Amino acid sequence: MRAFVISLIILSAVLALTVCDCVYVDGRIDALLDICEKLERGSSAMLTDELKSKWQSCRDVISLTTRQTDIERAESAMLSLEHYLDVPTDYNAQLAILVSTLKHIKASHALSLISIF
Amino acid sequence: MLTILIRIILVYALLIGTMRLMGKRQIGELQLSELVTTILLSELAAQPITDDQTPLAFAIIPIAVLLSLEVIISFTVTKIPALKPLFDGKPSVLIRRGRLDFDEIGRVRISMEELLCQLRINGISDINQVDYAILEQNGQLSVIPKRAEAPPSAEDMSLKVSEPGIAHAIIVDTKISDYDLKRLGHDRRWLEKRLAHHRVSLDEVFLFTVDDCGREGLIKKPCAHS
Repeated sequence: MRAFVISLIILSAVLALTVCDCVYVDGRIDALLDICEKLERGSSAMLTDELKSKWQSCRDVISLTTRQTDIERAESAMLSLEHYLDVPTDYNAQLAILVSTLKHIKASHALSLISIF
Repeated sequence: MLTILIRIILVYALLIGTMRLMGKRQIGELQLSELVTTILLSELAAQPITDDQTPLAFAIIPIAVLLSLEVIISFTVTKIPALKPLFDGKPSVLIRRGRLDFDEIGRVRISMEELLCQLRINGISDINQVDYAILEQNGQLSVIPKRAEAPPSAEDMSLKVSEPGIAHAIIVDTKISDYDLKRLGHDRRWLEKRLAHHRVSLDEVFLFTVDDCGREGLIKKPCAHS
């Protein structure tokens, strides 16, 4: 009986943790994608800084349940954005990589048939 | 490298805890659901240890879920026996009252050579000696010989025998097991008296056992020769 109750508690905790993780990652990535959408219309140093600071505030938590390769790709694209602020072609290319990576991270946390299979 | 070291320790502790919670059966005879869980556990545990790109949560969360499901299912199956065949299957009676059940043998896909081999492992040389042979859910064959072929019991021979129970190891290599001593309802003072009765000191004892009837067994440590 004790093992059964412990198992129920563990299962509930894991379920709660997973749901919290999904909601947190979904919310943070959506906020980042909103900024990216604005940046697609034209590069801006202020928005790029905002994007970077928002990413850094949630990066550690997201990396707990995300593959390191995805985190590194997003991080690299984020750093390149600052570097290519005055070169629109390269800036847009790095922004596209960042958007694609963020969408991939979001999809891997979301509950859908595609993410399951 | 330090990350991998810490990961190994964490995953090892997690697996030990998981196996302990699953119970002793997991270590020896595996039921179908337990076998599946064990195979999955080893795979899940190995991945984040060897691949530092994978978050540890990718092992911890599935292991926790598997452990919980395994315990919840085994508890539910114990409470609702009708569910047991669904998770663990049913035992198959291959020989019933000395007659081979060919349908059942065909259904479990066991060859006659395999059946004979299993009977020999169970100490049966002739299939005609078998009353029942049952293939259990864990894959082991239980063999019940015909009464006439079985060795006579004390009851068959109308003999009165006492039940000694098991021998509890009270002292192993000069170390006293207070747990076993307490289970037998004795204490260290009693033990000292018994050792004095046997004319030995604690340092001389290699093994001292007491069975449930109170019969004692003593093996002294070999004398050290330089």
